[in-house]
Amino acid sequence: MLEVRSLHKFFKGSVHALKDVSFSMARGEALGLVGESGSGKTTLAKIVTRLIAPDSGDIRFDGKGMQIVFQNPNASFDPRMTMGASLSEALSLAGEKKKTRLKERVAALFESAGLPAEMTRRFPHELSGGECQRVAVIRALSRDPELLVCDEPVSSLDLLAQAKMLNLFLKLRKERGISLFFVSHDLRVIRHLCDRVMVMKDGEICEIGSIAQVFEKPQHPYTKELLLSSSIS
Amino acid sequence: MGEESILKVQNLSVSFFTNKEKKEVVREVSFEIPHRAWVCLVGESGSGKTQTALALTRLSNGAELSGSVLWRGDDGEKDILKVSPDELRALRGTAISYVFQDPNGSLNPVMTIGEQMVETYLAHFKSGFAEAQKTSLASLAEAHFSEPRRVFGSFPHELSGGMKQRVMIAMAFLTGPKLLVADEPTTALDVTIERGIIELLRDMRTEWELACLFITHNIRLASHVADRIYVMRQGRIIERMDRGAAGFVPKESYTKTLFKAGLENVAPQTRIEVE
Amino acid sequence: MRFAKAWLLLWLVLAAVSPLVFKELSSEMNIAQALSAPSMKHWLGTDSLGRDLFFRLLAGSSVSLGVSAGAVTLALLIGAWLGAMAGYFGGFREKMIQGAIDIFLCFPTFFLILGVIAVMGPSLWNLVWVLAVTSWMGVARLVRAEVLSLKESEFVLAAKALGAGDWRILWKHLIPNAAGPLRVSAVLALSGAILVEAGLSFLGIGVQPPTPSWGNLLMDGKAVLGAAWWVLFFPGMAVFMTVLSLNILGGSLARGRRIDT
Repeated sequence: MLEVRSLHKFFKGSVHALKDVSFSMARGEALGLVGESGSGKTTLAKIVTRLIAPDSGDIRFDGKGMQIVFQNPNASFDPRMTMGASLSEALSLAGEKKKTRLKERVAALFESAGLPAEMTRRFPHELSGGECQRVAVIRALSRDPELLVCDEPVSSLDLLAQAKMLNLFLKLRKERGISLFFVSHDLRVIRHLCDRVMVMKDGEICEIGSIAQVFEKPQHPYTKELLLSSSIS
Repeated sequence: MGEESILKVQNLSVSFFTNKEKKEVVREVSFEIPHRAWVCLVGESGSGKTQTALALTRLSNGAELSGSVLWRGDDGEKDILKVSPDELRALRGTAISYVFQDPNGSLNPVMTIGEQMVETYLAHFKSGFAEAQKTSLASLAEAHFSEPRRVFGSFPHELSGGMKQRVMIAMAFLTGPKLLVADEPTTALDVTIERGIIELLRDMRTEWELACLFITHNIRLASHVADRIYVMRQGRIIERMDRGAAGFVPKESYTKTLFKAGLENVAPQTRIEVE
Repeated sequence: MRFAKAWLLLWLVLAAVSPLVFKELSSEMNIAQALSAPSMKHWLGTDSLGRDLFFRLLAGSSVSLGVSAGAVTLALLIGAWLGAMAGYFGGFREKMIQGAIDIFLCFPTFFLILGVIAVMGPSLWNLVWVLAVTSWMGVARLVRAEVLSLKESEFVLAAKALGAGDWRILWKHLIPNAAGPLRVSAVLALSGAILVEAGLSFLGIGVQPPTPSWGNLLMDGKAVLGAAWWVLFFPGMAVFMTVLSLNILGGSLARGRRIDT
């Protein structure tokens, strides 16, 4: 479904953020991308969703729609708009023009996610990280994407909120067959959620394989170091 | 363990007044930190753990504190909540030191590390620049820096996040505290860097007989490093666990839920039972 | 602070209402009563043509405040648009706009205004746009700075990911979020504009009599200062109190601005 070939990205001329990155993703799978800060994983996520353009290489995506969920949930909403208004905007960008229909659809989306109706009147700063992230996910889902790109979506959440989000992601995969491209620095989260994982360091992919392979028989020294530091081994 | 406590907190409450309403963020919290022990305070955001830590040396901004914070130092037992401002200033740094989550907030960007360390030292001890510098360099070396002089002369923006946090630990250590209070010190750091910081804190504890109050939301991390864990929820301590042969064994369902959320012993791609 | 707000609110209402209600009363002349001191009949006294000063002041308020508010609004529109474009698009557009800001800032404002008025005549409309043209630069700089810092925010990225175009992002997301400092700037600009208008009218090149404005009331007042202190005093106080209130409001807005994220 998604194929990335020989991506290169430079920042400010000399910083080689992505070095010859290539990988592919099958429909319906959950691919994890793990790396530390500076590894280029966020850049890769942004390039895959076409928010920034690569300097060379190409991306082929033949799925129906791709959306992205960001790391800082409260900051991914316009602070001056209510959650309902933000969601309305997402829907109207997707083509819905009738005001009455917008209101109905927003209410329906909130309800289907198990969120209280009065949350539509709240502002981002009034909600917790976990609550905002849930709304961010339904906002992304409102476009009915086949691929959900997640850039560290649980990294800024407390453990309990993180667990709830992971349950939500699992539910989405099970019930809607959504593919996930999940970027995280947390190996445990990736092990819990994904089928395959890519390890990145300094703009390069060091290792890629199934969860079982990479976690039990890591090949690359950096992967081994990561596993050791996370005390999984 | 089984030693005398260096800090004994009894019925500590922290309240804020906003719009004429009283909001109790910490409710009658009691805990003890034994000498050289690593005690973790675990809780979600909003549980009151940071406010508890700040209250220990009356750093809470405009809050009302009640209860007692008994410090057993070289000269007997004192209630930090009741000592005079001068005594308080003396205690801060020499008895209890802090390390916070974001080193950028604590470091002045226009001064070099060395200048800031010397300034801190001289604020506490009457001595000359030479001695302050010497102690600062020694402190940096203790913080596992292989080139203390280089770090001494650097500006904060020239250092990485992990290095800055080690500088903060070195600075906290500079004034020779007996208790280091660290509030989510590694939460913003990569896991490989985090390992280095934890090892640093472990070394300091062994070599310098430092007790540590480590605050985190990550119960898994706490269970790897702590001797004792207190779990906080909505301003109260709901459980205390001491390290046993089998590690930490939770009794409260909330604590059990936290462990599950930490993905320990949870089968992959299954629902985590947290609600 | 409360007094400042009350004062401004009062004049806002009076200025809006005056042209409709008090037009007659403000131009009614009664030579017999010329230069009479404040009394029960004429609360603030009369001027050299026997016109009631109180009503003149009210009528003048709508002119002075109207011209100033009009100028500031126009300046805000021009400045916000140019500043947002410069901040968001960068590149060539930014350089052009920055250049324009620098050029306009180089002009000695007062002389530019004098020149334009001298050439084009002191009509109310001319006053409004020339005041706007000499004060949009500050707004543009402010908005550019805010847009620059906000354009990399996650909510902007999120909007882009959802398919929002540049213009939508600019007008719906970036400019409203730049409103905070803009409010402060607008209030202070208003107080400045009132002073400039008063100054110009005082010199005789602003609002022309018989249309009253606080500035040309001051001009009348100066002429008869020895004989009738009230003709200068009350308009002067009006200008002073209004500018002071605006500055107090601006200061308190600047201090109390809460950043919601």
